[in-house]
Amino acid sequence: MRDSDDRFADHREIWERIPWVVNGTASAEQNARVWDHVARCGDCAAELQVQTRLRAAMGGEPALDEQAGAAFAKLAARLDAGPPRSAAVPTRSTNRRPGLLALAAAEALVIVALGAGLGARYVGSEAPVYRTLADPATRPDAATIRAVFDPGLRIEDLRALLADAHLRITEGPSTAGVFSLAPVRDGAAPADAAATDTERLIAALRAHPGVRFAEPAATPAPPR
Amino acid sequence: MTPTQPANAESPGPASPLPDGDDRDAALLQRIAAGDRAAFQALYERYFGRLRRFLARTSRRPEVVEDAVNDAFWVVWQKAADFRGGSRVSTWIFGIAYRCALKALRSNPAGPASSHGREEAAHEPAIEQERAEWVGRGLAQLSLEQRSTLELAYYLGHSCEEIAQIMDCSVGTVKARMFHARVKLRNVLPQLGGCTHGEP
Repeated sequence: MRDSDDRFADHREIWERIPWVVNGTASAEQNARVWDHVARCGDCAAELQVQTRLRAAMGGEPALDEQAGAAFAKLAARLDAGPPRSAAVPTRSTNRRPGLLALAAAEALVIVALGAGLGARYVGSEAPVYRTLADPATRPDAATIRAVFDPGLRIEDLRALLADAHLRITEGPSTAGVFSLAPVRDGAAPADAAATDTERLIAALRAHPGVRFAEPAATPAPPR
Repeated sequence: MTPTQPANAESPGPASPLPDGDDRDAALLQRIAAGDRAAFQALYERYFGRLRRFLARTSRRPEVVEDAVNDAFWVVWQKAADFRGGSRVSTWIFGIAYRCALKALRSNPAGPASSHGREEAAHEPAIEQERAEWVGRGLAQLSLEQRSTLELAYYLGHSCEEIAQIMDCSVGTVKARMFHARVKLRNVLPQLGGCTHGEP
């Protein structure tokens, strides 16, 4: 009975180790133990063959993937559009010298007073009547779209595509092949139409067979 | 027939697709931590095919695969400086990818399951495609955790301990998943036992 229990435990231990012998990650000692056992045990030898066959069927090098470039372009655009990696790390200590605290407090008072005055002036207005210089809608060179074109797209077709969409290249290609595009502004066109224009333009670009990828460059600031 | 021990007892099967260039991966990761976008692209291209196949086979949801790969590499870009070399780079990256895939599957529970990673198989030569479909039929019968364990062990060549790290579970759990996967596969894939009926 004791011998039978020992043999069962032995089989169980060998059975458990077989996959790691098959995939080459078992230790030398485990390897030796498994191979010693299967030389005497038909059941475990058969299981070793089964697992070797399974591994061979599951193995194989991944095919070279031509989609890697386009997939990386999407990721690169996402990184370009997002905050810089260091943004989460405070770059400046929040400790200020005591002498500056009074000055900061005075600045804050002035800002609050000015804000109250401006706020009263623009109460009831849904959209801001001003734009900052950093607002993409007011910068003539601000890219609103990031795109990757098919390498086979001919230059004249690219020109026609951009002309039809009233877009121009402001930057690129990056190392990932990403172009930054901005709308060609018509002087009469209202700047507030920028967001809807961008969505429409992206839809048009995506529908073109020569465009592999088109995404907004950044989300416009919501109306205050 | 009793299998014979290969001359190199450390590796009875064909070479694993895992890179033996972990040093190279670690060097790339260092450059990525310093903000080197070219190194990031190089690491991405080294892993893209393997990650894509691993996630396609385990999730059986082609529509989440590319996003999960990119989510994983987004984390790699953000966290490269935090890698301390406590494991192989591949173990670290596959662990991130596995968690990203689980998250994607939780966020999109209603999507249709692919029959057997067909999207991935479409890129392989005819014989490999046939073989992938044959294996895929068996893998489809397993749970996601069992499939992941088998893929990590037999396709990617990770050790039991590394798989525990990647899947964030105990070594005992990996062994149990492997055990149940093997038992189930023997039932649904009689070809594995030497029966040639229906084998490609």
